[in-house]
This record gives sequence, C-alpha cells and structure tokens, in this order.
Amino acid sequence: MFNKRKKSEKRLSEPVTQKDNTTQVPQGINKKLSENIFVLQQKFGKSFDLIIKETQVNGVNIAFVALDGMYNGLHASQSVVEPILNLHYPCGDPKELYEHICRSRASECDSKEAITIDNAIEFILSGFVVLFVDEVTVCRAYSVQGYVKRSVEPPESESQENGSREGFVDMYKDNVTLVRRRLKSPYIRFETLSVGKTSNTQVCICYHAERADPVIVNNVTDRLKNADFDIVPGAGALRPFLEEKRLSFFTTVGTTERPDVFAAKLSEGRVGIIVDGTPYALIVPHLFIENFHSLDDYLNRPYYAAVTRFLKLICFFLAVFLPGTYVAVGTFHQEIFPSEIIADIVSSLQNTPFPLIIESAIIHFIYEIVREAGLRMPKPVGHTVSIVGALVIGDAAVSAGLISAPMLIIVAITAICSAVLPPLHEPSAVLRFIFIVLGGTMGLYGIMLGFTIIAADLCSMNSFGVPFTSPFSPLDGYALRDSFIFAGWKKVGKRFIQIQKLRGTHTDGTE
Amino acid sequence: MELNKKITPFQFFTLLFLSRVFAMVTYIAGINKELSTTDEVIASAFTGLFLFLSAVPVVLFLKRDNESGIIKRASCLSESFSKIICVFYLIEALYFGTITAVRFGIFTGSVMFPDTNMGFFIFIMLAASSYIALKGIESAGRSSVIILIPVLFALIFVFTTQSDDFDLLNFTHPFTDKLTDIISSGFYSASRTGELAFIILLTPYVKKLKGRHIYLWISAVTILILITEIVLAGVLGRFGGTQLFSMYSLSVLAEAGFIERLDAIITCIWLLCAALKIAVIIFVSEMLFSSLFGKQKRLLFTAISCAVIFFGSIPLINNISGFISLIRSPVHPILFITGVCVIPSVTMLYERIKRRKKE
Repeated sequence: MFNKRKKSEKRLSEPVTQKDNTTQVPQGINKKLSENIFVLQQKFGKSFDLIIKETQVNGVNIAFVALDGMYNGLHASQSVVEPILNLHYPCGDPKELYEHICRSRASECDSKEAITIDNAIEFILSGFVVLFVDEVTVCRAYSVQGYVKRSVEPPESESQENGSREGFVDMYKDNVTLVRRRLKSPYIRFETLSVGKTSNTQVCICYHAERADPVIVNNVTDRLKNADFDIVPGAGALRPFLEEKRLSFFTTVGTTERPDVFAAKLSEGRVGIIVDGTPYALIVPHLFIENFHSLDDYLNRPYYAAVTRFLKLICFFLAVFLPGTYVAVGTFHQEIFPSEIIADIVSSLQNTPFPLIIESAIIHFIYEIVREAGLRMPKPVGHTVSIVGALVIGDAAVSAGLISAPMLIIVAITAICSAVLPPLHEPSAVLRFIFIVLGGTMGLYGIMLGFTIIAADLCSMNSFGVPFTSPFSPLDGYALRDSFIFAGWKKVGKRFIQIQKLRGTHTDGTE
Repeated sequence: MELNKKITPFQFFTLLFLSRVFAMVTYIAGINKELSTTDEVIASAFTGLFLFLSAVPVVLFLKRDNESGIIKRASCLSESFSKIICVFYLIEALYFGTITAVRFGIFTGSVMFPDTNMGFFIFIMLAASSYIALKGIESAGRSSVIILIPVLFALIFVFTTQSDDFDLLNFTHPFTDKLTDIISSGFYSASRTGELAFIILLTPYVKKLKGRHIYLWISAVTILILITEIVLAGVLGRFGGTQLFSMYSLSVLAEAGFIERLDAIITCIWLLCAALKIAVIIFVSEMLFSSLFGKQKRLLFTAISCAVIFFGSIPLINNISGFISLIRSPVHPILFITGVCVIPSVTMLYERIKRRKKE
C-alpha cells in the first residue's frame, strides 16, 4: 500500500522535461552577448513578456532585458535607458564602458551586479532591468520595479474601533515600510530568504535584535530554509513548517493583518514572518490567550478590555460546547432544565422526527454550508444566500416540524459566538461537531472527557519552546497583567515583556 | 512529541491534590467502619495526622537528594535492589489504578448512567488518560492547574449552597465510638493516599521539590477532607452514611436559583480529576516498566498498564461487596506503609551503610 502511494507521489511530481541527474553548476555569464541572449530565450521559451532590446553605445553591443509589466517604464527610461544611450565615452573597450556606466551614470536608482545567468534571471523575474554588455562576464540589474499593486487599505479581518486604518498589503517591501514607520529602531532586523523552487517567494524574517531570542530566530530561519516547497501560495502554507510536528486543532503560529499589532509583537521579542504576495504576517511564538486579544483592548479603558476579553472567552466556550451540552442535557440529563421550561423544551423535542444528536448535527452542518457559501460567493449573492438560508432554515424548517425552535436558538447563539473570535473559528467549527457526538453518546460525561483531552492537548503544546497556555499554566504572575485582564498602560507599559522569559519556556530546541 | 520536562511543585501538587479530590468525592460509605457524624470529623483529623507522620520518611528522603527519584538512587546502590523496588511500586501503581478505575466505574454506573455498561466507561476513561499520559507529565501538570479552577468552583458551590440545610443538631457527641475505631478509620483513610508514594517516584520530573511543599499539600488535603466531613455531617447527618456516595447525595441538594438540579454538571466536573489521576498512575507505571526493562517503549508500556488496569477492574465493578472487602483488607495499608515508609527508610539506611563502608 505504501509502495503504491510512493509510486503515485513520484508519478505526480515528476517534471515533464527530464533533467539529467548530474549536479548543475551555476552557469556564468558568457563573454558573447548573443550567447547570453540565446540562453535567456531558451530559458524563457516563448514567453511574450520577455523584452530584449539590443543596441550599441559608443560602438559596443549592449542589451537591456526585462519582463513586460514588471518594471516601471517611465522610471526605467529616464533613469537607466536614456542616460546609458546618451553616454559619450569613446574608449571602445567594453569592460571600461561597463565600469564607467556603473561608476558614473544611471546611478540614480539602486543597482546590483549579477555574476551568473541564474542570478540575472532572478533579477529579471523580480522586475529589474538587466543590462548585458558584450565582452563583459557580469551584468547590472537596475531596480526599477513597477508592477500593479494594491494600495494600503484598512485591514478587513481585524478592523478596530480606535486603531490605525492601515493594513498589510501584498508587497512585502511595503509591509516592511509599514512596520519600520512604527518601530524606528536600528535593532529591528528584516532578513530575507527565498522559499519555493518555482515561485522563489521572498520571505522576510523580522525581529528585534536586542529582545528576540537568537535561538528562536535561528530556529525559524532554519525551518524556513529547509521547507521543501515548490510554490508558496501564501503565508499560511509556511505555517505547518513553523508548528510542532503534531496533530492539533490549534495553531501555534499567530497571524495579523495589522502592522501596529505586528510591531507590538516584535517589541515583545517575537519573530515575524512577512511573505511576499500575502497581506498578512505570521508571528511566533504565539500563545493561546492571544486569540482573545485585540488592539482595541489596549486603547480602551482597562476595565472594558477585561470585560471584552471575558466576553470573548465565554463566546469561545459557547461556540464549542453549547450545542454538544444541549444535546447531552436534552438526551441524558433533562433534570438540569429549569422546571418552568422543561415542558416546553420536551414537547418541542418530541415534535421533531430526528433524535437530538442527528438534529443538531444536521442543523450545524447546514449552517456551515450557508456560512461557506456566503463567504465564497460574490458579495451581493452572498447576502441573498444568507437571507434564503435564514428564511428556509429558520422559519420553514421549524414550521415544518423538522427542527425544534430551541435548537434554532442554539444554532443562532453558536453562530454569533463563533463570529466573535475569527482566529479560533477553524477549531471551534470542528470541535463543535465532535462535542455534539460526544454529548449525544455519552452525555455530560463525554463532554467533560473531551474537555480534558482538549485541555491536555493545549497544555502539551509549545510554540518554539514557549508554553502555549502561558501565562496561566505555568503561572506567570507578571504576565497575567495582560491576559484575560489588562492592567492598564501605567502598569503594563513600564516594562516590556520578553516572550522567551515566560515561565516554563525552554528555547533550547527541544520541544 | 515528548514533553518530559520538569514541572513546578505547584503543578505537581495540584495534580496530586486533584487526584486526592477524586478519592474523596467517590468515597464509598461502608468502606470504613461506620462512625457517628462527629467521630467521622475527628477521624478526618486523624487522617491528616497520619499523613503528616507518614510523610516524614519521604521528606527525609528528599532532603538528601531532591533531583533523582528512588529508582535511580536504588540503582546506584544495587541493580537487583532497584528492580525489586520497581516491581513493588509497579504493583502498587497498578493496584491503585485498578481501584481508581473501579471507583469511577461504580460511580458512573450507579449515579450517572444507571443500567449502562460500566466497562465501556472505564475503557473510554483509560483511553483518555493514556492520551494524557503519553503527552507527558508536563502536559498533565499544566492541565491540572486549568482543571483545578472548575473543580474548586464545583466544590465551593456544593459547600456554600448547603448553608441553609446545615444543622448543628446533626452532630453527635464526640467520641461516641471507640477511640481505636476512630483512629483505625483515620488510618485507613490515610492509607488510601497512594499519591505520597508517587512523590518519591516522580521527583526527577519536579523542579526543586522540598519538604514544605509536601506538608503544604497534606495541609490542603486535610483541610478539604475536614470541610467535606463537616458539611456532610452538618447537612446529611446520619443519612449520609446510608448513601453509597455521600458526596453525590450532597451535590443533588445543591441548586442555583431556578436551576434545581446541577448534580450532573458537578459530578462531571469531579470526573475530570479521575482522568488526571489515572493518567498519573499510567505515567508512573510506564516509567517503572521502562526502568524495569531498560527500554523506552512508551506506547507499549502504556498499553500494557491500561490493559492490566482494565482487566483488573472488570471483575470488581460488578461485585461491589467484593470490592469493599478488598479495600477493607490489609492490602491497602501494607502497600501504603511499605511504599511510603519502609522502602524510603531502607534505601536511606542502605545508602548510609554503603557510605560508611566507603569511608
């Protein structure tokens, strides 16, 4: 069976054009310009967007190579092409000409030297205009990128009442600027590496050099370097490489769309990962409690922050446990219902054809379908789906006697509560079904057993050596000031918290 | 991934405290000799006293070395001595595990889900506990702190909501029963604290374990037992003695406003302790198996421990009178005294003799 699986994997991942198995030596830049152009044309094939402009400057053959749409035409023309074409340096020696170009002209924009063809291709693919000079074994790449990109917009998934209206965008360099503007310290480091054999996605590792634990920084870098990828579709794809190698409902990698939140996390000694093409960033180490935090908590009055955080905690518990508990109580422990309403509940349950567990599973399943449809459909249609879903399920199903009215109330509460905590939507959606099954088969005993396993699972998790359940277990008195309560800036702001110094942390690489 | 890092004394003793809470809430009336209500309270005080006294060898044992456990220290003296100790503690752990599983089975089968297969519930509980045990002591220790909150809340809720029903007339005259009966009841109750033996076994997994931590834990356990006995005596009176699980009877009376029956929720919260208690026992058994065979096969040893506990508990769950007579038998005190007093004392003595010989 395993052999079959391996064969299938090999068949699916085999490249169409067979490469020879000999180790590939980086191909240097040829002396002959025509050779270099030939190699580039071979590599890019019939791609229409490859632009190669051959010309002469003072009798020396040169060529500009770029990808259409990836560079800013005006900028390239004014800063690179025109100054070079208008150059008067009648020496006739190509090498001297190249040196002269590098030294004196076209220096308005940032430029880098490439010594291999692959290196040059990398620049071309990144939107640089690359200059090849005949008889010269290096080339010059000019940074005149200018592709279509989204401007800075308010973050959609993390909208706040009082916070900044700036959210991360797709371009990683823009995101770095957004963070730099908030942390004007030379100790903030942004190191890039390329991930993905085909996509060569730029991944930027950000940290505070004085506060971040070097072991964590190195660990993150190593894990990303060793990540076996072909393409990186988004930052989320890197998450499994940063998580512990285990199955769990919860993630130990945080995400944010907000540069202000990202900057605050860096200042606590965490490591951030910005991925080119993704409008949100990853943060490690990440704690469970952080799922209940939002920027507004820090900007509102502390007592209100405590109230909202407790509210979120209750919402999480309701979103996960309410349907299962209702099924458990309705099936096994009816005596818990207050005597005033027990008759109504029991009569409504008796009027429905399905057992409570099936009824609950069906209604939650339909709710998830409606939610998914509303999320994926174009916005105007999404609203229609919601209305139809609400009308059909809410009214018609109860009138038809398919679903009991109390169950509908339970679904509504669960749906609203799960919307309060977007970071925990995934685990709560799945756990809800598990607890429905546990509650329907073993009653409250099953719910409690499930809770114990979830608690043990959460407690066994570490995020880069930092206990996931910190600062509660292991208990850390000082860090509790910013947990389910927020003690206020006068107390919390005095000193900064370094994440790796939380109790129970062991960042020695053994998790 | 293995998480066998050291846990803090607070986490460790919370784990042991919850373990003792389970023994307390599933206390089966009739295990000890029946005493009058006030004498039951006095017997609880004796339980505390016996716990303090029996902890002395353990404290002395830790005073000398609080880094390595008894198995490691014994293996430094003699390999065969270490093996004998391993076998003894393994039997003790599996025995306590079986007793806990049976208590749990009887509790769920009699008060929570009457007429259901108790074996099924034990099996499910063992599966959950094995999962926790396989996650390591660190996971169990951290979980215990989280679980402590609802457990304490449930206990406080039960105790405080009974204030209206508390009647001093339920208390009998002290020493109505013979003093020897009171003392023996207290001693038998103390001997059910198998957790004391786990302290010297799990020492390598706890950071800076000290004698005062043990005494603090014993104080907390004693206070809890005393409060429970006082509330039971004051609220239920002699009726408590006629109930199979008197704490459950107390929880049935607890009500919050318009919700009149909360016993199902309260007892379920208490059952969280059972999962942790069995997890610790399985972890200890697995550790002892590893020491005995010198191999780190966690999954296999955990499965063996579970199988022994499961198949050991099956004959007992359907025979409550047999189970009670087993608990009343001298097996419990013998295991307790040997594990907590004799073996640590003999080991210390052996160490001393060996040291003198070297000198």
